[in-house]
Amino acid sequence: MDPQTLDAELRQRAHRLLEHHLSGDAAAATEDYLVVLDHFARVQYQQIAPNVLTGLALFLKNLFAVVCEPSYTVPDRYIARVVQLSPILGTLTAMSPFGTTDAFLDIVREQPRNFVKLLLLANARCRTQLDIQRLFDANATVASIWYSTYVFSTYSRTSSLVDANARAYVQNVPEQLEYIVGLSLEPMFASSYIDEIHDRGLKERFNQSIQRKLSGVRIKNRPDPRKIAILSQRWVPTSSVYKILRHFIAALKPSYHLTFVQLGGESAHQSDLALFDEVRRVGMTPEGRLNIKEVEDNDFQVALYPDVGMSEESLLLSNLRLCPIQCASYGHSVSTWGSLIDFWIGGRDAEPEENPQDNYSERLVLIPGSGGPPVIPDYTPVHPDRPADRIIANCPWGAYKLNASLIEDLKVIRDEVKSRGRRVLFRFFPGAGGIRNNNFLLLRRDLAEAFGNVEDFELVPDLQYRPYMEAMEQGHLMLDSYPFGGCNSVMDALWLGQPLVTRYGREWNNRYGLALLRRFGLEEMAVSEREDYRRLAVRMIVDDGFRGGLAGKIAGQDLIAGSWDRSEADAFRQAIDFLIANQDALRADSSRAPIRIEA
Amino acid sequence: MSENRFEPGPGSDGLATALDHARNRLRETFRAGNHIELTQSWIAVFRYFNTAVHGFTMRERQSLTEFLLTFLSLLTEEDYAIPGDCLAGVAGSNPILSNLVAITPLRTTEPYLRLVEPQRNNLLKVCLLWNARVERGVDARKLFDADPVTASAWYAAYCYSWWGQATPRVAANALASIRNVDARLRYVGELSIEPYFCTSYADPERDRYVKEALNRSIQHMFRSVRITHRPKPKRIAVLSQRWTGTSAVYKILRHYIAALRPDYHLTLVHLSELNRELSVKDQFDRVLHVSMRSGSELDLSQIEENDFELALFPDVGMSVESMLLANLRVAPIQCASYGHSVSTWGACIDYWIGGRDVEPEEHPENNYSERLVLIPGSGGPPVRPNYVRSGRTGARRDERIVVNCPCGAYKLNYDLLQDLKEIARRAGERGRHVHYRFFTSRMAFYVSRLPILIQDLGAHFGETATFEVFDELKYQEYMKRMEEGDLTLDAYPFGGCNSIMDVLWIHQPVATRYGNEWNNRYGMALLRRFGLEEMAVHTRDDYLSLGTRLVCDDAYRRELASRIAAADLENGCWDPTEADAFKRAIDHIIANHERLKGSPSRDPIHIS
Repeated sequence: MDPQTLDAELRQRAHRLLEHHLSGDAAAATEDYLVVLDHFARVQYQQIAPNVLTGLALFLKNLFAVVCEPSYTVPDRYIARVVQLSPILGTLTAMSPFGTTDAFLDIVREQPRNFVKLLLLANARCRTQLDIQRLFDANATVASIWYSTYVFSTYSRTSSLVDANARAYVQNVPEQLEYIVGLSLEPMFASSYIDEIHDRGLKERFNQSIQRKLSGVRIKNRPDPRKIAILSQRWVPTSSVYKILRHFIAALKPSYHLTFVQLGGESAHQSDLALFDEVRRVGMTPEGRLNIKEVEDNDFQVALYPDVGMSEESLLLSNLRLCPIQCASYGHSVSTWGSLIDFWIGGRDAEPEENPQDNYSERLVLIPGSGGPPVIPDYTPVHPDRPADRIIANCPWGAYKLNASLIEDLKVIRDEVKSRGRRVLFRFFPGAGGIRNNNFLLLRRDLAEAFGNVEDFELVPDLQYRPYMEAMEQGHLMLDSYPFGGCNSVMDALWLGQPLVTRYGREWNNRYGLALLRRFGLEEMAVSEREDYRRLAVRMIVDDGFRGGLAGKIAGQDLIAGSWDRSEADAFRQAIDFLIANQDALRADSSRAPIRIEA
Repeated sequence: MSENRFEPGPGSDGLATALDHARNRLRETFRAGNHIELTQSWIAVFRYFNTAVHGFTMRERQSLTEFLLTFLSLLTEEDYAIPGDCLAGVAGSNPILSNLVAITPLRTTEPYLRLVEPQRNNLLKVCLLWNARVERGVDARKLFDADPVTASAWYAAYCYSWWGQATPRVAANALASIRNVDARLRYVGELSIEPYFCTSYADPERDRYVKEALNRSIQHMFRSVRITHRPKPKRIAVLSQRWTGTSAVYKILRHYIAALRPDYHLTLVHLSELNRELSVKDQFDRVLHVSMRSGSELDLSQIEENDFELALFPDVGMSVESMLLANLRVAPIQCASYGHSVSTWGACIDYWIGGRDVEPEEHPENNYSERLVLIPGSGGPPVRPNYVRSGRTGARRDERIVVNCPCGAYKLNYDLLQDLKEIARRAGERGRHVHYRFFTSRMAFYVSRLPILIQDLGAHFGETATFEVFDELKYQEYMKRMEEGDLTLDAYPFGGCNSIMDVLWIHQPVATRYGNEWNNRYGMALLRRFGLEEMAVHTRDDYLSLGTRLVCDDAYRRELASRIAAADLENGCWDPTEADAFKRAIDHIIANHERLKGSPSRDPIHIS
């Protein structure tokens, strides 16, 4: 399908779909609708013309007529594709007059042989609740495909319905859930943003499935105490994983032989290999298998995953025993919950004081500092003129982080600000996550619905770093997200001299902002209660003097020198030394208490 | 099934099978490009459901859903055009489609309306798909710009779609449609009786906008119709569709007509074919007949030359014939009264003969476009129920309080249902479970209204109260069921008339709320006659309090029941001298009409 002639093509497809339907050609009808759904799953639009939406609605109308026809069943060869496209059907339906697929789901529910049709129609925008266990009882593999892709329909969690459905999805994990290569990484990653408490159940189930699938894989390991493997997909200078952890890895360099295991092939040529003595590669084969040829016979003493869970390879490998000691750290700042990672090297200043080990299935090793120094922004502020008629509040929250509670907070803040005679504009930066599955369009629509207008917010498309910072700098202040808070974005705001409000909880990812602010004596911008978050945001918006005062305090800081202490990198090395030196004792120790490394 | 007819066969699968066939027929005719036959096919199906009441079986509901889905999918195809001569079928199908869709998972035609909105030649499709269950309609002015006749047919159909108003959306749409009625609204045949009649129940303050527009249209249509009058003194025509022994119109007004009898020559002009053989003729010197000739044309042959001095419409607005005739000058003097208790708002009726005891003391004339003539009493004595009270000991098997709501489907509205829910909620807090019994009469019968009414009520009450709906009971059965109840809650803003007397007759306490119109003050006036006015309240809060007390306070209910039992209902409900006053009113009008018609005064004329 050609985006330039989309309107005509959609009408043509709709017409052809109806013809095939009326003539009883199920295969041709299925092909007809898959072509359109495929198109919208692949091609991301930032806006769609009204006539295209009309064509789309006509197409969907006929799609629903086909799917709800009792005699129609999805031919076997299309089942996996059809089920995978369920979220995009939910997205497109949300942009159409039908709103949701509920009506059609209810119709199909009463029909025999409805399994695949139910999966196609069920997404997070539906009020209708299916008995998920029954779906898995019917066919666990196909149901796992659906389960793995369902998460795509949760990315615009601005409504309480989608938010609740997303949470229920994370909380009700069927026992038969299977890890599906190419699909299941996404729910494992996204679940931590949806429900920071219950994500562990979902991850455990997937990890168990991976471990079952990989049970026949044999790794030969003759550990050399001085050899450490760093396994990463994102060891490139522009990546925040690299920026956060490179000093830590550099600290290992004098004492250890470092092997870089490049995961996946996409950014291999950009990787910074300067720190490494050796490079190996692990990737997926075109058939969807893990190609571990280069690590299946290794001499690593320690395998360190800076960004476990951010790539399929890291996820699969973390469920293998590559070497005696396997560690992870904050490149992706959530526990793997049940993989074969032994230790999590965390930052004392950003973890909660009481029972920080509850956040990890790995044994926690606490080093001084935040566990990863903030990235110093590669941006020189230009100090633009800001609008005087309204306050721009930046919301640099990836689409994963957006949720209904936050939107509720913003609405309360907006209304309170309005009652005090001021106006606020929320500027959202949903990033790359926001444009998957055409969610950018949906997000705009959902935000408009949530706010009741399009004047109270702006939705900024995914930008390169510099234009992103320019757009941020036009704002007056920054509001952090919760429960999954910002990390680099907090530093970005400070770098721009911008006051911010962050709400802290019990996880590293919602305490990093607090830890950073505390370093500079700016912790008055961090609060723990929702009401305080709203109150502080309102004050920051309406009280120019207060905001100006905070900006002055930020401007007085030496952000580069003060944001971290180089001794933290040494502590990181000491932590590795400790783990190697005490590996036998630690293996025998059933304690879950954090291991504390002092500088 | 023969072509373009929809006739489900007998047996448990008859309807489902017929719907499946009908669905296939839609598909075949669409594929063949035969839009005329396609259109006739679906119109036939909807016509069937106009009078077929169904509690659908699962299988029937499934077939219905599939039929509707296919129908809506094909209807909204851009290259399908509804033939232009199918307006009546389209308008007739609108409320039925609305109600049928509402009981399926599709819920509303709204997405399909959105689909046809940008299409060309979409007028008939819009008129079919836009009903009161649609949240966001289209700009009605554009419909009237495109074709006032089609738009007027749609408007009439739309009014059918909001009966019951059991959801906030439907209620809001009903009010909005009355408030924003287009001045170009036209009479479009029998369909137009619906907005003329039902708007008074939905919005008693703004119904006049709709009626005025329709009256203007009818008067314009009749501008060249000439009735030749050769009035003879003392000749009165009584024009009614409902002058039958069982009709409330007859029962309320027969004494008044009887009072005219000695002095006047009375002609009954029976309106329509309905009830023609049943009409009570013994009060009349002559009987004539007027009815519709072919759907929209009135056969006036029996009255186009007449000698009436005065035409009296006891039930104007309840039949299309009365609506039309009221906009003609049948006689030099034209009067109406409470058989249908609302003003015509702009017809050619000169006087409204009303009851002083019921009409509000201040400015009762504001309720009428006609000159109000007030006679003593209520303006229509209550009908003495033809029912022998049985006592209801042992009628109930549980501890529920059974609350009667004898309000036709027209009188049901969302605010009232909210009140009922609130009363049930308050009672629930005191450990009392309320079971409502709705007696909706025939009005729930048409356009497949009943299933969706039950669904809406279920959604409305949830766990708060249980309910039953009795859609059409013979009078004896109705009264027997009523007697099984513990109390009655009257409707508002269009309150009960005969139902209040029914309730008193079975010694049942009632809560009625009075307002500013005859139809919501009649109950209060009747109760006052017996010193029972504590059961009539004015504000919503008082209605809720009284309703709750009646439900929860058994002793209070018993006390009221015994006071009702002690009242002499037969003799106390009216004074026969009121009929003489009615006659004196007629005498006065005839004697003074020339003077009165020249007077700009709107003050009521009081007959003592």
